[in-house]
Amino acid sequence: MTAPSPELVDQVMAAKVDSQAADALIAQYMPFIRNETIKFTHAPPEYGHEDELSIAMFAFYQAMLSYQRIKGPFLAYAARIIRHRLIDEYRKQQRHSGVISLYQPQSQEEEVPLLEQIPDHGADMASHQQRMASQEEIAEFSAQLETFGITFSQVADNCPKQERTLQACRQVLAYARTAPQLLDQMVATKRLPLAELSQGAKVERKTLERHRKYLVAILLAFTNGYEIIRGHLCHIHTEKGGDGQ
Amino acid sequence: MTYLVMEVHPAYAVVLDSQGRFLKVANRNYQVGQQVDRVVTMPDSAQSHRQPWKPLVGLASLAACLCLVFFGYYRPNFSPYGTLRIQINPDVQMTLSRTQRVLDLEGLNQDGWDLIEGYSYHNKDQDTVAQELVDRAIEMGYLSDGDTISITVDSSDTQWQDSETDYVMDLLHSQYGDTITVQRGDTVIIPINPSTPAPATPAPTAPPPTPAPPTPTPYIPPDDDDDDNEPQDDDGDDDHQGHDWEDDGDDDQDDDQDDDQDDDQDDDQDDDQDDDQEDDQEDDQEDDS
Repeated sequence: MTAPSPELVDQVMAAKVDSQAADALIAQYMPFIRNETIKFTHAPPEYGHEDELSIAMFAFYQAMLSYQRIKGPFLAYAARIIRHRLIDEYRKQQRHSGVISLYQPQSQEEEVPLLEQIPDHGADMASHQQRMASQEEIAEFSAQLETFGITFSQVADNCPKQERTLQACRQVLAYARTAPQLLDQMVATKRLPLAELSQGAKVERKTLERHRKYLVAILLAFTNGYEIIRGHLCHIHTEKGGDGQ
Repeated sequence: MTYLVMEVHPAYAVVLDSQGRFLKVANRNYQVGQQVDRVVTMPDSAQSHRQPWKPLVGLASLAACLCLVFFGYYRPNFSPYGTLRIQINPDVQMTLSRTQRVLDLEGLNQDGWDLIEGYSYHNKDQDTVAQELVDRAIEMGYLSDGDTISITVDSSDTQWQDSETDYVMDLLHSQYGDTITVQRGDTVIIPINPSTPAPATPAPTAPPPTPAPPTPTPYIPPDDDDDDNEPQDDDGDDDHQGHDWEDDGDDDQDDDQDDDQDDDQDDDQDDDQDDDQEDDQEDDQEDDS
């Protein structure tokens, strides 16, 4: 962990832009991440510390994104980020310290954990089917995004962070829904009709250009099908209905 | 807020929240299509860890230093704050900074220029320059026992003006007080006009000046106007004609006549003319009394 091999640094730099390389690097450094987690939890992550492990992996991914050469050896940097992130999450959990664990036995005599006694609503057949359906829909959505040369990771990176910008994007969406021919045109030509959208929604063209990938994804979700996704987005739906007309 | 899991990676999952945001969150064994209520999101700083203001810090501190130097050192020491005018017969005016450094020295009449010719005021403060000029005046014979020095301090800061006047008066008084009269310049109104061309008015004539308040008011505007609008009329004694109440009254009359002629030629300086006429009238009234 002291002297980073130059290859590692290169790998990290590549992973910043390529999400597949990032996944590969994480798989390669899984033992390291596990080790860092154990340093914090003092117990193997398999026994009730899965959350910590996934947070540590997420932190490793963050470290990859934010790493720069001037920040020293990558692994030392990543270890620091992981530890800080775990501490952060631990403190957040402390706020809920009054809450009992689902895995706790209900009383001293009974060995059965609380979880087993709660009636399970999530795992019945209907919800399983529901999940399978949404899985299919998302797969199709993903495939269609692929034809635009966009992945979900890129969309997430491209997503507006500021509320104001998000609002502008919603405005575009609202306008596009009133003009379905624009959506058809987008699907047919595989490009965003920026000029028409910015003019119609009265949003700066620059804003749209900056969030092109995100806009493609969100507009595509409102083209045809994708009812589950659309239903999930009911909030913008209703909000837009009010705004648009 | 609910989140729909769109894509899973080993280290993170992409979820769509119900407000239309796509987010990268920690993957806690999620499956695509799952709806979750609580996610661990990425802190904002993680992705764009650049701090765009960082290079500006140096610039800002540099600007702050410059401000300090400018307001703390340069301004009090090097920018004009007021003027100190010494009238013996040579009439000189020094431009002072707030800290009493002499920034500029000029003569207001020919004798004044003679007095300061070859004299260097650089890096001297007002005390030194005032004393040295008075000494020079004595050496060159402009000033002898019983004569009067009048001091005028002018500044937009009246408090500074007053304290400065007192200070210089005290200074000169303590140095030369036993032989030479030191008085405030702005109280000196000489009613006697052509009969005493002698610049150094004897002390007894000083008390009679009666209308002290009305004269200072026209003092500044006509001076400014004339200087600004008649650059060609730069014959050296232009500066005098604003100060009619001074000792050399006959010069004034000449000046006024000159000015009137100039004004007639210019034809656009009617108010100047009026001023001059008013001044003349005042002078006349004073003469009568």
